[in-house]
Amino acid sequence: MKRCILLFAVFLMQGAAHAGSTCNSISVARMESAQALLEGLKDVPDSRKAMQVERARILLEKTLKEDAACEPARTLRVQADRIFVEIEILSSDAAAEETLLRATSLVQALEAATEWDPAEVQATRFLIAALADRLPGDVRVPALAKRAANLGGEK
Amino acid sequence: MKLISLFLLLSGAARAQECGSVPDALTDLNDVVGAFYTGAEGVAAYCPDDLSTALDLNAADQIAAGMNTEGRAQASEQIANAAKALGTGQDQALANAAALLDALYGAELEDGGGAEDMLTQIHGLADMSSNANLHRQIGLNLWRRGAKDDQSTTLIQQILPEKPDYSRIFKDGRNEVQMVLRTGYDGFKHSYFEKVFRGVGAEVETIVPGEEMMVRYTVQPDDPSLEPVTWFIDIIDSDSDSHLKDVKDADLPVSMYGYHSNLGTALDESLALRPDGGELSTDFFWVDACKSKVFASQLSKAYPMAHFVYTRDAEYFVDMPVSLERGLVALANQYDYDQMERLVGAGGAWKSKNYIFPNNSEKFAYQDQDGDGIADAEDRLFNFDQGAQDLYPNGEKASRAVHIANTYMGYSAVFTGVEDAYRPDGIFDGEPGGALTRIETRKDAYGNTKHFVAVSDEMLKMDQSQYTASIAAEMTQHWGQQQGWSAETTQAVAFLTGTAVYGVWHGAGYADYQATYYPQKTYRSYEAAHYLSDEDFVTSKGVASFIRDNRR
Repeated sequence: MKRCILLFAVFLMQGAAHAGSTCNSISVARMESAQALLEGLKDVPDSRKAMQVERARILLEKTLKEDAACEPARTLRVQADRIFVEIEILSSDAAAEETLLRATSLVQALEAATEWDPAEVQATRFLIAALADRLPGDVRVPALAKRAANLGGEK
Repeated sequence: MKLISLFLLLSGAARAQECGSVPDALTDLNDVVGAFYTGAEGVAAYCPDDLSTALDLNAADQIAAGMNTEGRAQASEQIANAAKALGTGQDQALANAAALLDALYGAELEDGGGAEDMLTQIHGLADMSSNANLHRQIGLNLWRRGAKDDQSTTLIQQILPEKPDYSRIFKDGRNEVQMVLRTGYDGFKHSYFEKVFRGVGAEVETIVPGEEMMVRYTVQPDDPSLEPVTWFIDIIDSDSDSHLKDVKDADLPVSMYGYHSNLGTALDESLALRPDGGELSTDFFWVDACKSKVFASQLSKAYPMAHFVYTRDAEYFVDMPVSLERGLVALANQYDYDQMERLVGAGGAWKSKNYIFPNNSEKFAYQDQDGDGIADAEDRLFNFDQGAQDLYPNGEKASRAVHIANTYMGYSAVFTGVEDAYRPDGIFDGEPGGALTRIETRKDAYGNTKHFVAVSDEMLKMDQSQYTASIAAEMTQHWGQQQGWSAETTQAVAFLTGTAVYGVWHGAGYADYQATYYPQKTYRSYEAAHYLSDEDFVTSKGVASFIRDNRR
């Protein structure tokens, strides 16, 4: 659903960069760049989408700072702001899932190992502690922490 | 001025016998300052040679508060004129004059005045001095007073830079920039550098597995008016004496330390062995370790102009390459620090709010550029006597110890809301066997209520691990009393906190610790020793279970 909203928003922006004659040539070039960043969202991993929209927002802010009369940049900026609100949660969730996947792989590898490196066990526990900050209330995290806690003894 | 001097002569005759003489160069300023201090009720006698040491600012504030607008304007003009006539080599006297002007300026603002006269004198003093430390101090004072005019803003931006020094990073228009990231075993093992940088199209080459990696990362800036930038990142398994080797290297304007904090001691060796001449370095240096704010007092003293990024809380290896990659995108786009912070944190599930960027005044709470033990946020007077590295007593050590002890308490599940509750408050002339700390609760420069910890100079005669542990124990004792813990619990937790801090430095050094410092506090110490291991402090399970099991 979020992806649909995103694509719709990008669709709305088509042509925005060329919509007005009130912008100077540098502003037009910057708007094209910002629009390319937004249109390229579909090609980047979810965890990086918010960063990419932020790049577009910052570029549009710079455009408006130096060319305040450039109304199309203002319109594009408003749309980019809306996308950012939508996409930030998506990116945040995706980044947390990536970390969870890594931690799960590490625990699985340690469980399957014939012997444990204490430093490795400790680092895995730290990673799970990081996850507890990022996914509060997610039942998978304490479950993983429990599995990691069982790695403490002799093997 | 003559009237004031006459008043000084009349009232100061008796004092002259007790005080030393004043050098000729300081005569005028001494007359003015002496007159300023004379006659106020409850203010300690002023001696002519006081100008060569840090003045009593509490007395100055008291006097300034009692003056009217006209008197303050007159006094500030006289102080500034006498200070400007000093010439070179009188740094402390100039710093004292700047502090007195700040007292007058603050009092006038407090009374609702515009204080333009005083501000003009402060700017004039900054203009005539070439001393970088004095400039920074004046900037700090103006920041604290909330000055917004153009000249004040220029001075404030020297200590709170809005953006990296791009003229250094992209010197002579270069767009291929070398950088070094110094890390260690865990950094290579758990940071996923290769995955992160390959994921953005960078070339990654392993030079020696687990020891050195080279990354070639080209960033196409979003602004078409900027050239592409290629970063050559050398990721090294660094020795403990080399972490700061690259700061001020002309070819390495960007560096990162990405490894353990070791409770604020990780950079000790590399600081002691750092190359000379870092005072003017404007390097961008990311201190990507857990709670790296504890390094600020050391680093800001060694590299007062460098742009350090610190962490507030624990930092995870898994986040390091992500933050670095985003930071490099921000640098290539020549972002200011606000924009960089936004980019690094955009949609981040990691602790995106964990970083204190160089434009954030929060860093002043941890810095101590003159090394007098008072954080820059609170310090209104640059104390030139305290600058030497090996000076005893060394105020910076006291400052750092308070931060480390507080950080340590912040890791513990036993405490709630203790992180950053304590601030350093200088050193005092203690007695052997006397009080080790003095803790006073008041508002800090940001308007928040904090506990300020002054440390006895007697304590600083101990080994670093001992005095830091002792300070942690005393702070815990204070915290327990504030929280209404029972005396028994307070004593136990204080004991255990101190023991645990010490233990971290010395591994299984509990016995040494017990023998050297806390033989008298034997509250179930045998049981405590068995509950604590090197790891327990992180979760405080040891402390918590000890308290639970021994609660009477």
